[in-house]
Amino acid sequence: MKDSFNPSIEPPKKTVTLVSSDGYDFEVEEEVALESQVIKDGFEDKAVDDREYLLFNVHSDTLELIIKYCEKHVSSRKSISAAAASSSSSNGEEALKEWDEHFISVDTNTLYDILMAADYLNIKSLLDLAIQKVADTIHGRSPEQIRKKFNIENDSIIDPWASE
Amino acid sequence: MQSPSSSYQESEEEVDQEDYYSDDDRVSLRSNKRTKTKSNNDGRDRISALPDPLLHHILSFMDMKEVMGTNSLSRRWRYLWKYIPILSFSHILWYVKHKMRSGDSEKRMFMDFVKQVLLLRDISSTIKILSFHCSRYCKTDQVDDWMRVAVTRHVEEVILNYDPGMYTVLPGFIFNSAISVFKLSSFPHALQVPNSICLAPKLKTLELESVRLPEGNSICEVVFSCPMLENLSIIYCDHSHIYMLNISALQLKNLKIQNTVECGNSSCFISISAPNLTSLRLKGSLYANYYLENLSSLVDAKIECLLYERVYPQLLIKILRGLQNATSLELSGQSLSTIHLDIVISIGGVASLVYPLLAFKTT
Repeated sequence: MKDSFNPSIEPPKKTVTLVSSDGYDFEVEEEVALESQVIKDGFEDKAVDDREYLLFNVHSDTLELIIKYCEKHVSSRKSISAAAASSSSSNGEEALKEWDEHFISVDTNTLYDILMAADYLNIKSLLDLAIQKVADTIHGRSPEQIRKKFNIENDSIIDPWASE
Repeated sequence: MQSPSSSYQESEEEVDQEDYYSDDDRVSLRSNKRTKTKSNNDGRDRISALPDPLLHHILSFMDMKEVMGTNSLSRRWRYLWKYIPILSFSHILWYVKHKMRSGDSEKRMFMDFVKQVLLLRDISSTIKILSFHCSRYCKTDQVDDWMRVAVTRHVEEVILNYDPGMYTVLPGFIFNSAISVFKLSSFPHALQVPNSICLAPKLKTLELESVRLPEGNSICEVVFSCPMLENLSIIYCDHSHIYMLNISALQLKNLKIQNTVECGNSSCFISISAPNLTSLRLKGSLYANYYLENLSSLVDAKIECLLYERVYPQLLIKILRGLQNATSLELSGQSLSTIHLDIVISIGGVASLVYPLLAFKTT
């Protein structure tokens, strides 16, 4: 799908400007921005000259991480398919998985920011990655430990499971 | 997938992360970079502030036992479990640590738990995927009840791993429903699928593993002809009671069949007629005879034989003729190359008749 866009045809790569909620401009390559389904959908409707996207819900700190993720995925997808074409063995997917795991090992606040942004921008692989991370964090913890980990205040009047 | 990081201290994780990003020498994309002022942990409860669909999504990644553990967190979390679209139940979390095998009490607890969750769930919210990994932890009538829930609630995907312990047939109503993906595995061949599976109206993906194939018609012929079926995989299924396995599905794209000697398929005939089939994988013990017709869309075919099995040239000629349209064909198995060298030579002859441009490679 994204292969139809071939940057090698035009030497100056097409770029898109993404504007974060706090007003910072990020200039990214078009194919990186197209990782987001929302931008991709909007892309077809937009005029060619208008290459600016206002992302009201995404803070610059988060946007920087998201762009880093998308760039990595675009570039490693290319290298994986290149390796497959030349039938040389590569551990590209393994390496990417490792990279993903490292990428998502962030503190809880950043994790939510990524989660919300991935949802807002509709980047499915990143959303699943972040959600899996949250689910893993809950996994194997007692309610008290989960509360502590996520700063959840117990406002239940009676704890129905307290006896267990 | 989690590294031992769960045992790390939060602060360690953060330091680690900080190093990771500062290692990157790439100039920041931000046009006017400013220093980081946001504190990493300001004590806010961010997770509870997430919108409901996202929380449901998070809970869908977890087993129901763990999901139910979250309902005591706070009032916000109390009823979230009622609305999640993907429900998975696994008996593994019900093992008592010091016991190797489970007693009846765990079995009953697991069954009661599943029943209550299904009963007390919000009735108007849809279930997309229902997954049960219960091995021997359930009774047949319970599984029938769960399947009834799946059918009446229009579940799209059902994953069932279940060992009835004695000969049992799954109820026929399961396959007269909206289920489009059904994955069934059992052990050993005690569980039989009903005849209605062969005509399931909405079924797109069917995976059967270690189950007994349906009884078939009066001449013991099983005809898979589900109108929507696209992916079919039959792995280690019991064929001993049938005479002919007939797969004639118009929409079928991927077919995978794998057998061992115990599957009893060496006395069974197989007939495949699927004009839209693109990928065919036949692995393991061979059938008594092959009728491969109408495989005009075939792209990729892979035939793997067992190591010690004798392969009759006539049979192989028949298989190869049936696969003429394949653009990529892979034959493997010890008996094809080393044990019966004479047969290989004859296969080579036949293959070059059927495929004049084929380059033969024996390994």
